[in-house]
Amino acid sequence: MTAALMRGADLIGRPVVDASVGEDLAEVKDVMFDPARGALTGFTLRKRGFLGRKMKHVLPISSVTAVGTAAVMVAGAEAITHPDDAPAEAVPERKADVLSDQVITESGQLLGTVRDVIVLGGPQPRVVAFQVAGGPVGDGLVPLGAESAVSSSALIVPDGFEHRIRTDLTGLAAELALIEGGR
Amino acid sequence: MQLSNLLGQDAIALGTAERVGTVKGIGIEGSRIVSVQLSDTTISATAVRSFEGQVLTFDETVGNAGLSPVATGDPRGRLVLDTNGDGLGSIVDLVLTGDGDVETVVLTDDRTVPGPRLKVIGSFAAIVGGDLPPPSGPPAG
Repeated sequence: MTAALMRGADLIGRPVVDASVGEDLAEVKDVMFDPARGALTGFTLRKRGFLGRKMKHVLPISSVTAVGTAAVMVAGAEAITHPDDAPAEAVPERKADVLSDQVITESGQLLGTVRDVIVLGGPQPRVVAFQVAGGPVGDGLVPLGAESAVSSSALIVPDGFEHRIRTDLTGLAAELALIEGGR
Repeated sequence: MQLSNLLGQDAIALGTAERVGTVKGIGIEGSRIVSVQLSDTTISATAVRSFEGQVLTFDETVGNAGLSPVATGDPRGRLVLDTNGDGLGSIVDLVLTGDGDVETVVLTDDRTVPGPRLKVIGSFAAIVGGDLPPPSGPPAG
């Protein structure tokens, strides 16, 4: 089965399921992304249920066995760890938030601001694109290529990158395949 | 035998011929029933003489030592996930053999999962391995 593309916002509320016993341990509160490494680092969590109470514990990406369209899968309850015991990159930092980052071309043209991340699910989940809005190119999906630079304040893309921006996940999947093929 | 027929059956202890209660649920590990939840107690599936009768008869002398901690209950309606976290539907029923093996998991949209692909049925979801055939389409013609 082909891994699905999904918006970070769609992952919020998704159950974290222990595949060894079929029980739900928590649900996703937010997606953690490390701009410096361009990597998905894990998830912050909340308790399951209508009230969705906060949990201090986090889910490092190294403990995730797969991200699917219905659940985030882990191999056991020990996958969920206290931030003190989690890898440093899996501890949430406010300054690492990429939402509202400006998306700018190398020559300084503002294309918009980041509104969400796009995650490729499956057994090796990763952030592959950003959803941008509020700029001259309108709403769109910016694929993360090797030539992109991202920080906690801006995403820099090559000049002329506008033609790579796609409006839906199907178009993005085709664009990502082109980028992969060009590497 | 389907799970829907098993649930609600009277459970009779063979030694005393007493009705102990009715079947409320089952616990499944892999593709095998490991425990049976009755009205007021849970028994090991090894005590059950057969899952094919109209009444569940069991040997009360077997005891419950080493009873599996797997969740028991009525699994119908529970989500079915593959190991990649993709949803396949919900459990509509289970087809069981007389020995307590799950032969087939019947899902919504007329999909089925062969029992041996079942890894566990938990309190939240059933987990299955391997790819499944697509939903069956409308009849040809």
